[in-house]
Amino acid sequence: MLCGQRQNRVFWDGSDWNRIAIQMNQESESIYRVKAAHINGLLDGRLYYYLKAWDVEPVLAENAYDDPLDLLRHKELIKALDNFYSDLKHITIPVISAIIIANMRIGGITEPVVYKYIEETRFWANSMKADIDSMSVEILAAKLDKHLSKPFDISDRYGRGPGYERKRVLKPKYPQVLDKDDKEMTWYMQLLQGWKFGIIGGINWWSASDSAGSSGSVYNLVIKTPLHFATENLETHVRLETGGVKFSTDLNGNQTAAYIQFGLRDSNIPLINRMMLDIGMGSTLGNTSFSSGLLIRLRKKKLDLITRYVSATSTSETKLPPNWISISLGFNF
Amino acid sequence: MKLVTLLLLIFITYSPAQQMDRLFWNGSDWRRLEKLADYDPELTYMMKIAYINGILDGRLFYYLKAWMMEQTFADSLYAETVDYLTPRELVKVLDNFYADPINGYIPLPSAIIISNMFGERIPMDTINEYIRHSKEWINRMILEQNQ
Repeated sequence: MLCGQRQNRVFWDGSDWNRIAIQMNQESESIYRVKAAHINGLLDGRLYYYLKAWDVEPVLAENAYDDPLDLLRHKELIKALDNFYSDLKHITIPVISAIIIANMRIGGITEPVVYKYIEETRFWANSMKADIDSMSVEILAAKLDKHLSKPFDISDRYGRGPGYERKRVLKPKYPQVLDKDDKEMTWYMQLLQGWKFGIIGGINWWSASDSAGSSGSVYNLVIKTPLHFATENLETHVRLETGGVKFSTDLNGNQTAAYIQFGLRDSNIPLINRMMLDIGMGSTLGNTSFSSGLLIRLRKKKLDLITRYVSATSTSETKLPPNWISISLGFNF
Repeated sequence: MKLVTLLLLIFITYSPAQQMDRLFWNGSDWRRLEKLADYDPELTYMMKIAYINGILDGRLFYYLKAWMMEQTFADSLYAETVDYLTPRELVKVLDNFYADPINGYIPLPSAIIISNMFGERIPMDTINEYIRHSKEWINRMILEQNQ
């Protein structure tokens, strides 16, 4: 039985998780029910003591129980844990840590931080397992403190960085009574949340009628909208850019466009995680323009390298080139 | 007309149950596991064990974390005994505990503490007081949640 397998093990880990399938004779419905029961237990155990702690020391409770555990539904979480534990090197990671890891990924924590968390969790889990028989709580906790002091508490100071938008769902749900001031703030807080800004500049290059290459410049203010959707494997952003474009001294003016960017997440190839396809539509010098391109995020998502192929309608007044390639470098605030 | 009446009855019957917010698994969830497992005793047992282990793991993980922040506070918060009974014994005691419908809405984390109090032979007055306190606490929590 599962409880019998817990000898010399502090927490349920990947071997317990994977053993469920064997114990249940690979019956998917039964496997799901047992796994869901365990997850419910973990969440109930955490919530129970959070509420108890909140009654006495609200501030401490907020800090101690701030891990994101509820960004995924049970079904998604079980799938994420199955994937996580399919990698044998994660076997010793406790299930509760694996849940935090899955939620970190979906919550926008960068992969290097997640990787570091995994490594340190593995270290303390193995360390505790090795000499659990002789350890007191003090030593266990001291080990945690020593080896997991950084990303163990997934708070702002441990990897999210100043630009990370705190998800409302991470806030404790119960008991949460809004102050009068909070209620008054809610309507515009909701409007303001998620907006980000950046600047972008680059060059446009096109083939002129005499087959010679011509180039111009472009600079834009970037407005990142809160329309940011992320699943375990996919991420989508919507952003606006407005600024100026210059093809020649007498052909320059305003350029405004909206862009949808989408890319894969959690790929084994790190570069793929940084790449997004970029599709846009807008106005260039008063003419409708369409673009498709590729965005590569660099330097902790602070720097964007964007290559776009732009097509535009042209009038006899403006005489825009029909197509041009835009290569830009942008900085996100 | 009969169909409409029947649908109305079903709606009236189920509406309060759906509106009843639940913070934790409690006696009704515990008893429902048997039905969910299609009355398969082994699967029922496995689900119960998995849930209990989940609670204990969640408790231990956050105990250690709270301990790192404030030792005295963590020790006082997690002072209750939850590991006096083995998980197998705990399942039996919880089955008996929730067989009494009056205990149905006591949260499972509280019921685990109560079961261990039974195991430790703590005086019944103290246990009854704790049960009463647990009922009041969960009622207050649900009321605050609804507000």
